[in-house]
This record gives sequence, C-alpha cells and structure tokens, in this order.
Amino acid sequence: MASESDGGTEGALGDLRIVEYAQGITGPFCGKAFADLGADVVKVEPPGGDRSRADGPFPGDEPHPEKSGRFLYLNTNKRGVALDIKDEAGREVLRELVDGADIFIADLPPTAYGELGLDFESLSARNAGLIMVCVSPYGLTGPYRDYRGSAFTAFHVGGMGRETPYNEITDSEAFPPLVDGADQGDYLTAWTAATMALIAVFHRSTYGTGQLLDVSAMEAVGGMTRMPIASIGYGQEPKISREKANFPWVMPCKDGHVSFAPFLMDHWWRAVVDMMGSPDWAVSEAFATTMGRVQNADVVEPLTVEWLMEHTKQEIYEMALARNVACFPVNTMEEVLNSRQYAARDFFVDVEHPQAGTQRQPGAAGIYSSTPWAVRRPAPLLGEHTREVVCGELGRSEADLSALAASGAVGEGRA
Amino acid sequence: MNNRPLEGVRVADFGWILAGPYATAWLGSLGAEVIRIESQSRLDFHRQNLGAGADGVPGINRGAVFNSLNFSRKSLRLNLSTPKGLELAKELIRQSDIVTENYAAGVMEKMGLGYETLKAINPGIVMIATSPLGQVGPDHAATGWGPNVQAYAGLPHLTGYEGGPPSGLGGLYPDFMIGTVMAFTALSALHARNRTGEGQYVDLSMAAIVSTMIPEGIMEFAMNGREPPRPGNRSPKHAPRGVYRCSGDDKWVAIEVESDEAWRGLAGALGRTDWTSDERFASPEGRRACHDEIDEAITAWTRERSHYEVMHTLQAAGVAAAPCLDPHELLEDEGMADRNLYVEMDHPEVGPRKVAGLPGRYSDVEDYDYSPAPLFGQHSEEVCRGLLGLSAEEYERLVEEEVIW
Repeated sequence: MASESDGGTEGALGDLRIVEYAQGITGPFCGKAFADLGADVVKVEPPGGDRSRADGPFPGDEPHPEKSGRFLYLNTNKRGVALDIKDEAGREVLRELVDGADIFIADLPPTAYGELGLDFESLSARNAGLIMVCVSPYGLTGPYRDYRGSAFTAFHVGGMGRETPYNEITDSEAFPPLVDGADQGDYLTAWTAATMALIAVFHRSTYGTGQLLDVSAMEAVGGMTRMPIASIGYGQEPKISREKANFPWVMPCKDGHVSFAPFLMDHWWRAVVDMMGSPDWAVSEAFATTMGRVQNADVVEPLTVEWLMEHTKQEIYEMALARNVACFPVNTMEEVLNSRQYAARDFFVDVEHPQAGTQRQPGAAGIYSSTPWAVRRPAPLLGEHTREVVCGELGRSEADLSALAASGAVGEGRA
Repeated sequence: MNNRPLEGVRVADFGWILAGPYATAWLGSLGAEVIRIESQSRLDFHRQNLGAGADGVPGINRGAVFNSLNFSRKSLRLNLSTPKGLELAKELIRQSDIVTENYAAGVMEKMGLGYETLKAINPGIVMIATSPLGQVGPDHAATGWGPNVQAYAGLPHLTGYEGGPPSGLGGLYPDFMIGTVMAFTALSALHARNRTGEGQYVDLSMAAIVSTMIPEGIMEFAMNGREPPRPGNRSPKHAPRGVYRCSGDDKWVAIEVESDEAWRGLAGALGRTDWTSDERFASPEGRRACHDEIDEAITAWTRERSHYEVMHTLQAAGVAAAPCLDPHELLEDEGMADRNLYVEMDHPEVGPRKVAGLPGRYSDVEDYDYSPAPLFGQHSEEVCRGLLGLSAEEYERLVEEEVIW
C-alpha cells in the first residue's frame, strides 16, 4: 500500500501501512522502528501538535514547534496529518485512515478508546485484519488502569530504580533509588511494543486474524528486572541493588570514568593485570578466580582505581582494546558524536528539514545487507500531508476538506 | 489456541550469556523451533553458575540466570572446534530460517560460520549478528557485556545523582532490551525474505542501539554544543519530580508533577492550599527554583505513609505517583499479577520455579507458549537423529569422539 514514488517498498517492512495516534516518546519511537525500515507511517497529531514538539532541544535554544530535536528524531520517515479527535468528524477521518492500515499505534488513556468509538472492537469490525497496539503506563486492565504514569514513574515502579545506580552507594538513606537520565522507561517500552506488533504481523499470516496488543510500561520495565525475580524463585536472596556489595560498572580515572569489568572473567582479569604492569598485589592467587575477586572486591577495587586514576579513559580503552578485555570509556555526548567507530559505520545521519535546517541525529544501529535502514523523508510539519492523505488517499473532496478545516476537525499544513 | 504465530520458523541459536538467549526466548515462546547450540568447549558463563545454583546446590542445569532466560528452546551439544561438529552445525543452518549470535565480532567467522559461508549453504538464511560495537569499523574487536557497552553509548554520562559522578543503570541494562531488539530485527528481515525470497545479514551494534535511545542528549550537543546536566531524579521540564522517603525500611515513592493542574492536585492532597496561591509556585520554572523547599514538605508527608498509600492518594488527585518496588514487592503487586509476567516453569531438574516470562498481552494469543529451559544437551539425540539424519550408531560414536560434547 505504500506508494512506489516514496521508495516505500525498499525497506524490510516496506509493504506495511501504519497509522499512529501517539505523542511523546513511546508510541512514536515504536512507529519509527517501522518507518525507518520502509513502512508507510501516517502520524496523526492533534491540531496543537504532538507534545514532543515542545520538548526540544532546539537549535539556538529557541523553542519552535517545527524544530524540537526529540520530535524531529522520533518522527523521521512519517507523513503527518492533523485532526481533532474531540470532534466526531475528525474521529471519522481517523477511522477511515485506520481502515486502510495494517497496524494502528495509539496511546490514549485506556477508557478513552470506547468513549471515542476508537476501540479495537469498533475498528476491527471495519478492518478485519487490523493490528492495534495500545501503549499505556499500566496496561488496559487491572487496578492501576486509570493511573497516570511517565517514563520516570515506570522506571521506578518496574524495579529498575532500586537497582540504579548499580552497586555504587553506601548510604541508602541519603541516596534514594535513581532514574536514568534519558527516559529509558519510554524507549524500552517502545521496543516491546514494536516487537509485539511485528509478531502480530506474523500471527495474521499464520492464522488470518488481527488483534489488540496491550503494552504496559510498568510491565516492560519489569521485564528488565528479571534477574532478582529468578534469584527468589531459585531460593536465593537477590544481590542486585544500588547498594555497594560488589564492583560497580562505572569507575573513575584520570580525566573521567570508564566502565570496567575486570572481575567477570578470569582471562579478562589476567589481561587487566598485564595492563597494570603486573603489580605484586594483583598477581595474588587470591584474586585469580571470579569468586576470589568478588569476595575481595573491597581490596581489588581501590587498588585498581588507584591505577586507573593515573591514566586517561582513552589510554585505558586503547590498552583494553589491544588485550581484548571489556572496558569502555564513559563517553560524553561530544565523544559519542566524535566516535571513530560510529563514523566508520555512518551511524549519524544529517537530516535536512525545511524549517529546522540540517540536524545531525542517531541513525541505524543495525546494518542490513539487502534492505537498508534509511531516512527517506524528514519528520513532517504539522498537518503537512493532511490534504495529500485526506483527499488523495481517503478520496474526500476538496469541498469536504475545506469544511473539515473550517470546523477545526482537521488541520492543514502551513508549508 | 492461536498461540504459535511463528510455527514453521526454525532458529539456529548461537547466542549466549544474556542478550542472545533473551532474543530467542521471544521467538521460541511464539512457536518458532529454537535450537540452541551449546558445548563443553564454549560453556555459557551462566551454565557455570558461579556462586550457587537452585537452592544453593551448584550444577550445570541449576543456574537461576541460565534457566530464567533460556526457556522455549532445545539444547543441542555440538563441539564446533571439530570438523564433524562444524559440519553438523552447517546442516542445521541449511534447514533453518534464522541464525542468531552475540559473540564478540568475528568469532563466528573464525569458527567457520561467517555469513558468506552460511549464505552459500542457505541463500534464504537471515543472520543477526550482535556485538558490542558491531562487526565493522576500527574498534569492532571491542569486547564486553551490555552494562559496559552502555557507557560507550553515552547513557551513564546522562545518569547520576545531581552533582555526582556518572552512574550505571540497573536491570543489567541494556542486555534484555537488546535481546528484544534482536528479536524485532530478526523478524523484520524474515518478513522481507518472505516477500522477496532473499535472506540477509544484519550487523547490530549494541552500543549504537543504546545511542538511538538517547537522541535528546546527543542532539543537544549537536545543536548547541552543550553537555546536558545530570539531574538525578529531577526533571528539566517538570517540577517537582523526585523520589521520596516513605514509612518502612528503605521504602520510596516516585512522584512527577507533569502539569500545573497536577500541582494543584498535589497541593490539595497534602492539605497545602497555600501552595496554589503562592506565586513562586505558579510555573514549573518557579517550582524548580524552590525544589528543595517543596521536597522537604512532600517528604514530611510521605514519611508518615506507605509508598502504596501515597500512590493511591496522589493518583486520586491526578498526580503521577508510583512506589519504587523491589523484586519481592513486584512479585506480590496486584498490578503485575494482572499482567501475568511472572510464570512458573517446571524445569526437568530443579522442578517448578517462578521466573519472569515475556511482557505484553495479545487478544488472540492466550499466553506465550513457554517450555522450561532445557538440560545441557537435552535434545542432542532428538535433533541429531531427526533433523540431522544420524543413525543411532553414528550418534553414539560422535558422543564418544567428543563431537556431541
């Protein structure tokens, strides 16, 4: 269904048509996973636009709805339609769009679907094979169904906050459970949603049926904190915690920090001893095994840090790279952008946008040998494709579009 | 019951440790036939269950980590450092749809199982190779586990208490998330193959996956040349946001006031109607300027209450609030019980054990089709004598020769 002229069939998922009515990170990042692999994703926004248009970062720190970095990144390769679902005429346009979709991604409050006539039962009665993905903080059912949530609360309620910072603190009263600094509660939930949606595409091929997918952010985060759950099931007290009982992942060095795991594998430890110039303390038999190092972490860690403090993160990384031992610099954003490895993989892409200019953003994490990941178009302007989609694809007349626009049911692009 | 949407898909699973096994847990639990290749010659770190296995008893089949990740698959022992072992692996790949692996870059090639070789055996094969920094590039040889790799990606630089050092995330992040991305990637390439008949190779970089999930920080530097601050539990947009002490031992609640309306809700719930008329608190910026003062007042209130009580009271007032749950609490939580994430799997050696399965609910899949983690080599004979066509005698001989080992 994707139009050939868009090159929409080039990617791995180029035959899929998706409608997205979702804001912020979770739903749009799920849609991006498909769009960047060639799916035709029509992003439907309320007349005021996706809230991420206000999030930034903005070039020159000047807020502008067409220049928010988060929006520009999360909505590459999508076409944009603006319509008002508070208006029945707007909702009917949305339903007609969903009639032609393989997948509908939505993030309404769980009880709103029925109230607005946008529930799976109504929509699938019109489009029998429809796959509908509903993302929400706690799921479509259960005692917390109507509760509010965010990436922040999801990270904490799903158990990751209690394990962050990993193995670092000694005073748990002064240092509460900690959230990550980049909304991973939303981003990781989006990957759960995208994977389920693709599974449902296979399901439809196998059984001929569409279905409703119910994705909970609390549960998606809970899917990450599975190790302590297993410990309990296996009769052991969970050891993973923010409190220091073992080596942390992050250690200081001369000019910053490195992530170092000398304790994990014996051959890694031997390489680390070599890196350090085989000091007498390090060659001790007591530290030769993983158990020995873990049990003596209070000795091994400070002595290792003493050595780390004499070297820069780049020196340590290069020494580790040469010896095949796990160690990475804790990269700043500048260092991430200047990574020679990322450069060699063409990881960053410069996306040209009619209003925001050319902006550098993360690109393909995976290099597909025959159906490449690609930015085929920048994020849409608000309502940029309303006319193209409503008249060109839904077959509404120009007069109809004008009436819808005049009543505020749809918004047309300013471009 | 329509719970095997991937029926007919065969996966030769060379994954190990965390991310690889979790990827194929997705595929196997939805009906794919996953055959994991294992051997004494390259034993999974988590088969060794350093420390202890189930109930404190060590054993190759008893590890909590291994058994809680390696469900819904078969275990085939093949010593890939022997020519015959390699030949059998190739025969398995000839009959498979997907190959997954997460060794360090280049290991599959060194073993004689690089993509060019596999493609010659089976042009339709989809191969998903996942490594710390990817298979190509000057630093492709870098080795490490997910939690190390997140540092390269930039995530710990953004994470940490205000004014403190960068910090690593819990949840062994990002390994399980990366396993999910591997499953998505494998299915996307399989979807393409089903349309075109052409298989392909996907070189996935773990670090790059994480970097695609922190675009705001990266674009902040790219646009404005500025490193974002580490805000701890606070937010650059919303205020107040924080983790507050509740009654009980190390109990906390996470509260995020996402709007001025929610702020009025919080003020009402705390009996602080004076807050709604205090002009200093009229905007998120104003409240952020007084964050310490507000936090102190919130803590005085939360300290007297359980974290669940705070959640219910504040949610009723329209405020996003949720307890910081520990694993014991997650297992007892009513909301999680409704999701059915935690399931009992009856393992052939250690018996029924509760572990985390896979998240998400499907209206047309009653439940994931889980089977417990296999014993080491549990399906060697079944696979060798069935799919791989060995006779009973050949099989016995290869066991003796340490090929099936």
